[in-house]
Amino acid sequence: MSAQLIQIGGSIVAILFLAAVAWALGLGGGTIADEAQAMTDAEAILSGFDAERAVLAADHKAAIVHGRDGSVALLKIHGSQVAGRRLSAPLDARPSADGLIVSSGERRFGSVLLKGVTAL
Amino acid sequence: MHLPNPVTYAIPAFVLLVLAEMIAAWARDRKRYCPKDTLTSLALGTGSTVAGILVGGMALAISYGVAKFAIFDIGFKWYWFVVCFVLDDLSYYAFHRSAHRVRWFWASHVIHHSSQHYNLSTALRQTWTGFFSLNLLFRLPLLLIGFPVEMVLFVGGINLIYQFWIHTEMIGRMPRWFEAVMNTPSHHRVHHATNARYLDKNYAGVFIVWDKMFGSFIEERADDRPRYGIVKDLGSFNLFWAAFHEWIGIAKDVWAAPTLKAKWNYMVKPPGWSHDGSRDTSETIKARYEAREAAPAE
Repeated sequence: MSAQLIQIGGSIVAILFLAAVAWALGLGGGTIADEAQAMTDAEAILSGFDAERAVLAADHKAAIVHGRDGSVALLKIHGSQVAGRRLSAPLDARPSADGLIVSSGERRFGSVLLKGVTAL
Repeated sequence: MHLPNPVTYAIPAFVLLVLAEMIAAWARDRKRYCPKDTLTSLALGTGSTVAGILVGGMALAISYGVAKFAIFDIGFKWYWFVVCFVLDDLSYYAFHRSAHRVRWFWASHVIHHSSQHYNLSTALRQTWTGFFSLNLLFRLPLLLIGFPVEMVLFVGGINLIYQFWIHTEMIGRMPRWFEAVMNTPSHHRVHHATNARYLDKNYAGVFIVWDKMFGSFIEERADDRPRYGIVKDLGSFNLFWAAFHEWIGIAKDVWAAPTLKAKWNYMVKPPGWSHDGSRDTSETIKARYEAREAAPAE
């Protein structure tokens, strides 16, 4: 049992060390380059989604992509990759001082701030 | 015969290789690692170790119990290790294919695919619920044949160690002969990809020949770069959500299912199956993709 506790303790130390190194090296930091990239990402993430136009946040960390069928893709940077959800109209969106906050309707995925965006 | 757990001895090498890959990412492409994702992967790996300790005794007891019914009495000669390793890899293929095609097993395995990154830390993102989902079943045939429990556990550990290094984007392709026989970073990138053409392919552990034999092999393509994760990405770094979200999904679906047959199917049909056909399985995603590819461009 003591060997197992040492193994777990060692693992935790190693985890904290590696995470600290990742932070110190400045790893990560993804963005959505432009509207075209947002549309490509939405189509890649959501099966059958046919993108028509995109609204990109000013900090390139989130986007709304409108589909030809009226559905909407909500994209956000997660880690250094893009994660997305397909939403139906009407969107649950509210204005804030920093931009528009769009709810994904899922607690874990959360709401997404579209910085600098005032209209979809 | 007492055999050590080879994974325990490999852990320092795992840590050093993750460190080396991080430094390479810093030099080449910093987006290949994300501190939060790495922390999540490593914490999930530690959680898996804890889960293994908690249920290891029971798993061992079952294994020794089943071994009493062995057909042959196989000893510890070196060549039996080789045979056991190959057969264990075949049983891994069967397990892994089931882990992607049967939701009950997927609920346990999904944790390993839940990262949208693909690096060596992803390899350590291992299940917490493998015992509960009955993963042990797939190793029982080896014990019934007569391979000693210690040998089966030992070769299983070697198999797991082999699979660590293939979780990387830093290696393009290995030499042709190696790519033909062995599982490689290229083959396994395909397995972790959510691109429609790559879904449910390349289940191999060590030998890619199983996929070629059983029709589940596909080559990585330069014009279709893998996008990693799961069909519906978590969008969250919550450890417990990563470990249990599919189990919660099963529980909700079974509770709400209209018939007993639907309740059963929510557990044993492929991930994405629904009684009213309202959700996507890998088959529907592939079919939609193929129809789109075949359609004339506008």
